[in-house]
Amino acid sequence: MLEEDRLDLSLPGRAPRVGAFHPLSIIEREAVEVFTSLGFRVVEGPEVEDDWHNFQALNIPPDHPARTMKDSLYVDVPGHPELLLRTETSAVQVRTMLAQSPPVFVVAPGRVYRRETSDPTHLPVFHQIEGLAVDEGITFADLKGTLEAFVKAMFGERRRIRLGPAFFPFVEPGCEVGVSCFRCDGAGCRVCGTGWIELLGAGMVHPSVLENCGYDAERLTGFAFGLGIERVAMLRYEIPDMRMLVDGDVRLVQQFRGVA
Amino acid sequence: MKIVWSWLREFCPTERTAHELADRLTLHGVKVEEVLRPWSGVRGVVVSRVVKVEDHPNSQKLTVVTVDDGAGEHVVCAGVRNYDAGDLVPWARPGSRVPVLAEPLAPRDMGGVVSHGMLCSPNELAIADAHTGILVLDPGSAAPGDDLVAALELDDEVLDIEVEPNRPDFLSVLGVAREVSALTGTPLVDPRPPPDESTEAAADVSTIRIDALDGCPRYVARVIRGVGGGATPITAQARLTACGMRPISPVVDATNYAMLELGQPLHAFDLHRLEGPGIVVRRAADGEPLRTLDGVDRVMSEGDLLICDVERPVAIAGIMGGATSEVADDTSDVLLESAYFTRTGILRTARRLDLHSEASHRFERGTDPEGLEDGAARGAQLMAAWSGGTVSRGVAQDGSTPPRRWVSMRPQRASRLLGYEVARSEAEGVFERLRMTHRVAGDAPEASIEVEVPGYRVDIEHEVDLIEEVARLLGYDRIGTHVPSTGQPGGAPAGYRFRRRAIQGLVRSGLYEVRLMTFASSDDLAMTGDTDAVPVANPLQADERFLRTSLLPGLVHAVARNQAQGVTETPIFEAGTVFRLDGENVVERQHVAFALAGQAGEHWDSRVRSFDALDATGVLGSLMTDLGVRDWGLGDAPGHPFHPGRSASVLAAGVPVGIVGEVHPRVARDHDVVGRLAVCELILDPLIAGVDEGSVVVRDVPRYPPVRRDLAFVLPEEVAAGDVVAAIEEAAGELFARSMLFDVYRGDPLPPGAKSLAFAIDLRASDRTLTGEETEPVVTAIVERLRREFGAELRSG
Repeated sequence: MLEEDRLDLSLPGRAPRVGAFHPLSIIEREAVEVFTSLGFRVVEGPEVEDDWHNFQALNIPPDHPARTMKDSLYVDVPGHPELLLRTETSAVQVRTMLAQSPPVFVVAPGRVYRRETSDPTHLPVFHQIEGLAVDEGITFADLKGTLEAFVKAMFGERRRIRLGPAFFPFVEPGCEVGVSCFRCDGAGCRVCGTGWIELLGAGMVHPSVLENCGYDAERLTGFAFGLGIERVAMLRYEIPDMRMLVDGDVRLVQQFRGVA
Repeated sequence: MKIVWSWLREFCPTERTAHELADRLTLHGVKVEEVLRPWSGVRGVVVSRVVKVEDHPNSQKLTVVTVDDGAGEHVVCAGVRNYDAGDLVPWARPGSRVPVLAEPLAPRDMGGVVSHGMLCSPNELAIADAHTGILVLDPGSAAPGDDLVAALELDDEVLDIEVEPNRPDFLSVLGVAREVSALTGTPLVDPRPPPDESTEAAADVSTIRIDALDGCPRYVARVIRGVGGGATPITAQARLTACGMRPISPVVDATNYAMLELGQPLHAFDLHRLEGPGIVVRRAADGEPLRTLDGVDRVMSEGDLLICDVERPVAIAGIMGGATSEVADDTSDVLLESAYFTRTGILRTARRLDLHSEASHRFERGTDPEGLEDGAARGAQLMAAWSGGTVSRGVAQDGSTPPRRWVSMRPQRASRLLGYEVARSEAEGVFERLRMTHRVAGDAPEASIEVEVPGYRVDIEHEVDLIEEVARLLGYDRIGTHVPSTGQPGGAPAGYRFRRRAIQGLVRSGLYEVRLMTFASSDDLAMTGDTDAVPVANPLQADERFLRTSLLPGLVHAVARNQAQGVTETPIFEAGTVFRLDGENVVERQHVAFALAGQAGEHWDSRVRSFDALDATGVLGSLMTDLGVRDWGLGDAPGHPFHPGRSASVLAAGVPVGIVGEVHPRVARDHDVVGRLAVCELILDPLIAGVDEGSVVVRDVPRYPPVRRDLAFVLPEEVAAGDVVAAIEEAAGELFARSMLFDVYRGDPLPPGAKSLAFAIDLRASDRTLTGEETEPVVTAIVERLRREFGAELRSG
């Protein structure tokens, strides 16, 4: 009788429907968690910013050549030609410093905009996480230590970082942070080429920026860093074309079922 | 910026190769993207002497050339005839390689004559663009049989450097050579011979007057006479080409070569086409016209800086020369401009006219105000050498060189910022290597170092700029590692956490998270009926010129795209920002929205069914539970663009917070969505207020069994099931445990316009098992209530 009760267990089982997080959400959540566990707080700000918060406060005056690095999307609000879609989440850091007294340890995730045509490695709309630490006695070693802790937590304990000089108007000294490739551990492979992947821009907050926010640049020092979330997602998951991240194709997101 | 290594070594004769230094340069602030070998594709090409040139027997287009490579004579066919017997030409012999051909050269029959290899034009050797003639080498510059690459010194590396805005001095060979010198310790040398000068003084030839000193603090000019002839040496042409500039003529090439070498842009005027001759530097009048040397008529604005002769404008300062006094083939005498223009003005004019040149690129970023004379001297010397002219004595000039800045740095400040001890001597050593004069301010141990900033370092203005120099020359690998203590617990604001909860809840309900772009078209706005969208002033695409007011249009388009790709179930959601214009204010709000279309689950064992509005309300209910919002409900249908019979507004604590239901079938169809499209959109912030933060309070589990009664009622179609459920619970009173709708039936034997709702109702007392005597009156009360309120008739039970 049990023989008649037999069931072919290779048939598809009845499971409740399972959804999936978007890869950008996965990366953002992971990164935010690393920083909150180090004692940083998440702060958010508007996506439509004004020129002062987005550029001038960050040591990028109106005719500075650095402005040409960022071709920006402006909004058309009568009487307000200074409004634009923010090009970095650094403006949130400015707002944070204006709104509170030091010390400041914050991370600002969010959507940012550049006037770029979409292609496999560029999008006009993308996402960043920026961080800021300002206190008495913050050093470049603190920046390196924080980023090393982040990189190891995010990409594996065996990762190493290396800092190379780079220019950003709002930090001095500025640096680019390379991470030893998580696929080949620095030996060189098709993902990384040289063994190192440039992942973050960072540096010591420029005294002018601190002063613009009403902070005493003699007493206080700080570091800041920025990370492109799409870039991390594309490297970690080997996503071939950045546009796949914004066209809503279910078949991309489905591949992330079960990824927390 | 491309830096030819042999060119750099003329200024800093390091023994190292570019390849060896590339990584170190990058780690110390000169970002080398790549080390190129532009002429590595030329292999086995030799210098040969033309022996004889003959007509081809069968083709008018071809010439038969006999060349001697020092070992023997060879016959080659060529398509041009710009050389004679005795000339030295490059011969790509059989087996050799040139960059433009994928395969090695081989003997080839051309119209009956076997051609062994080919003679090369500059283009084929990656020396210059020109391909109209065979490259003829300077007589005596090489011997037949010499390897061509070696003979022309093209066995060379080229550094491709990413120049950041703060180091415009890297836009020259000399600028990068200074860094290589600072890094390697190899001293800088000056390979430039001073020009031989005639007795004529340039200052006697032309007047210079600056009427706009704020835009042009200094203007220097030299005069070169007799520039009609000559040719730019091949190595110089190759270097210009490697740097992305086209060789044109000895006069123009000399100005470009000097600019690439020293960073000072130069401009050559035909002296005889300058009225005066004299130069006046002034601001334009609004509307003033000028035809630039590219033949385009431009209209200047007030504030643009112009170079004029004594009568009219002859150039847009620092950007582009005018057509009237440009050097041409018949130019014999040149006025060579070497000027310092302030950044801001050049940037504004270049941007406004959308006119950019190698010169304007450098002026915008900042040139060396102290480099005018060296630049003019070098440009004049090259021009005379290459074109057979003579350089007049000295310069004509106006204006003055701004004095140098002095910037101070405290070594302790450097130590504090960098996190490691910087000894004063170490810092001084760095400034020494950078060839910056420095002195110590006083005797105290904490004394600052005062540094004189050379004109080419436009980036050094503050103490931190000097600290960066110390840090990068000592090496960023000196930086230690320390994790700072923040003194606070980390965390996130309530809105951020709430949004994350919503996303997690929807993923748990089986939906896929998408991220869509923020822009909306006017059609999208029409879809939701919004008129207060924020317009984008300079959109990327003309038809997406607003910021989205709602997440729904984006989801609708995403569903259509998925379906077009053959995806059969599209349960998707997005959490993101929407924007509205309230007067002058941009109002941003966080929304979450989902869309369900296509098959609701594919399983061989279940009925094939499409998503509909009840799936949306189901997901909405789960979401509200996940968010901890208890006080919510559905309200009236919201109208366009929703299905009037399958949509409702969503209220939380009585406040409208969104909509749920199906999109109107016509709207769905108009946007290429096939089948039903069930959606929901919620504003998140008002929901946070409705969250029940209280903890779970456990109620004791029931100790006594329930009495279950299944009751089926026949009701008019228009009676809302929710109202019946509420009435049952009320009528059952304190014995009510739960009710579950388990069947909805229409059709035979029910009359049209009627439906049957069947409920399983549990009655229970907390302290005893109920008897039939106790439950019957309750059942009767329920039946009575439904009959009275809805005209319901008990069908069975």
